[in-house]
Amino acid sequence: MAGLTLRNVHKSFGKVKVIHGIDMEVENGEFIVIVGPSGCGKSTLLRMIAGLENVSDGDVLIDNLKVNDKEPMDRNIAMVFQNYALYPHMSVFNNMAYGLKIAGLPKSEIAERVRQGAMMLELDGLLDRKPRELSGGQRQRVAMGRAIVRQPAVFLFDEPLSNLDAKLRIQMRLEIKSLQQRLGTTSLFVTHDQIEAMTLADRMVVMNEGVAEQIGSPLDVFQKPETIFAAEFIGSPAMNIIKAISDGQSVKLENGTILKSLTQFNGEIWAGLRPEDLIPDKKGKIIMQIKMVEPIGASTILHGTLKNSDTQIVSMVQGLFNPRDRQPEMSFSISPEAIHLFNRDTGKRIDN
Amino acid sequence: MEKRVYFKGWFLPALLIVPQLAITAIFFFYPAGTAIWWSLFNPDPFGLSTKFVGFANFDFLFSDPYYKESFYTTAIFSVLVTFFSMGLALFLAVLADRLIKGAGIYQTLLIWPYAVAPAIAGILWLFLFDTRTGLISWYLGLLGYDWNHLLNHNEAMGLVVAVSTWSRVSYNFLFFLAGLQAIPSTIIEAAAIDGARFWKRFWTIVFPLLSPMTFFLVVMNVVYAFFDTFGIIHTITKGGPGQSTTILVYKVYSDGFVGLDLGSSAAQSVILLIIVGILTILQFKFVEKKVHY
Ligand SMILES: Nc1ncnc2c1ncn2[C@@H]1O[C@H](COP(=O)(O)OP(=O)(O)O)[C@@H](O)[C@H]1O
Ligand SMILES: [Mg+2]
Repeated sequence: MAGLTLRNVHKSFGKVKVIHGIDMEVENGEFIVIVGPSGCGKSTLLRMIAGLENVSDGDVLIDNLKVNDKEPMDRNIAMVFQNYALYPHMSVFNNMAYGLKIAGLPKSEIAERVRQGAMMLELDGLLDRKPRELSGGQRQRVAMGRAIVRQPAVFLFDEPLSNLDAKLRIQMRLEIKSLQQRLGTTSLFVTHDQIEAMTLADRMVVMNEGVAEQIGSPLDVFQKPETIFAAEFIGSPAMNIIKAISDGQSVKLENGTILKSLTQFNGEIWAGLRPEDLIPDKKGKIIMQIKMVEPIGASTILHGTLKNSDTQIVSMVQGLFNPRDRQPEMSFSISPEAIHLFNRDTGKRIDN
Repeated sequence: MEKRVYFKGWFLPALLIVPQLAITAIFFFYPAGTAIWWSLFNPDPFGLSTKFVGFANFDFLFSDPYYKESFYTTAIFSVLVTFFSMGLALFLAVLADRLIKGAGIYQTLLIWPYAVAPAIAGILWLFLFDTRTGLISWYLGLLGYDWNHLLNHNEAMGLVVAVSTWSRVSYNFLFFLAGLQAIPSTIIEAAAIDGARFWKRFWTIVFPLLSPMTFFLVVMNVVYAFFDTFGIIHTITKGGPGQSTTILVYKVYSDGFVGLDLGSSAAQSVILLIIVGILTILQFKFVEKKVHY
């Protein structure tokens, strides 16, 4: 088992800068999820840790050992790729045994490790098959198995679930989580799916355009997003971000609505209101003109604008809400603790 | 959805395929038919009359030690040419595949020899190896080695193999490079993470994944060595010294046009025709073998 450290890691492809200095300290056995929109540099970061891309600037340390100049095979890591990257001409057994054979393990130990790995992943009956004779979910398991049997210091996952259908994705997500807890291996998992990130991570890294916007536990990031980007990216439906002015006791939204606030700050801000924090309340001050109703089962999403303005706002209310009964207007209240304040210029969170 | 263009009537479709049919008929069916016909006859030495002899031409060939020797020569020649031209091409393709800068120039330069017609390639190499005026043979002479492919069987074979290899490497290179570039890079990366270094990856991952391409090229190169090297042999050794570089196709020519034994020559072409047929069947049988990725 090993920790992992990134120190001011940069990456450029020619003149194009892709990663702009990332610092991170990963503890032994931690499950870290790197989450961000497509193209923000997640894979590039993972590939630098794997040694598949060289580091333009900064250091990568595994177990306190600088590995910048080490080949992938000398880093004691295993990686699961999005397209699985199984060896198409080898059986499942040989796919899993490949790394062990190269490491020169005795035949009996190879067989034993592959057998155990296959059992953990329910691949027992499939060891003689070729990858093309497997379903997508089974291939995914083989890719995981290949990583597990090597017993590496660090697992790297690059969107391993995004080629699976929705149901299988949820199932594999749980399996990966329980497997990781059982093995206790330090893991880095890349995804663009915020729900995957929330459910898997001990800590998550919210990435945007090559910058780590926030590193923290899923609850931290959800409850105290450090930046507007993190606030909007985590949580579904996304947080409402509304222009406002704060005077230290209250927040005045751009349509004139005044809400009580606990944050002492004077000046122009962005106010962040989570859709699920808007509570239907006949006496509430937030008045929403409803344009669209989206029932999603246990709850209902309402889309509309703030009264007397064009400002878009979304709220989520519990329970089924028949679209035909919809009123033209609804009022909501929000508790003062649930209002997030962000600096108007930098987008950074404002706290007391 | 499959998209198809339908032509009404028969005139336009017929018009469109007539040129291809004509070419096939004039340059393939007619000569092949003629060869089969003539292989059953024997003209007298003065060409005044011909006589039907059945399979006598074939009987004679199979008991002719020179013909057997030509088979043997062809086997050695085609194995050497196939092995060296494919080996060299694969090596170059592996290097080119790793290049990032200048790959375009490198690839273009490697393709040039393919544009040189076999007979011209032969003459180019003669400038280097001609026993009296060749540049390299002159330098070899200075080093005390007396190069003479007109007398030495091995040198003659070596030279035609070298020229045939040289003019074939480009073709193989192109196919191997395309094959290498079709292998998903993540498979190679996965192997690297699994601990395999470059040559280990090559022999355990890359080469097996290239095998359908390799098989295709083996057949194509054997066909090349059997037939398309005629121009090279004709310009450099004319099948000599003795019979040492007389491959089957060259023997067809020398028996027919030099030795004027048209019946035997025709029978030999029929045998070659059968060999090509077998190679083609092999090719089609194995092309259906699925590529893995
Ligand atoms: N080999 C490369 N050469 C040039 N640009 C690249 C290369 N790989 C990735 N990029 C660029 O780097 C950025 C980040 O890519 P990537 O790390 O794959 O994003 P993500 O995995 O978050 O979707 C993208 O803009 C992409 O175009
Ligand atoms: Mg990616």
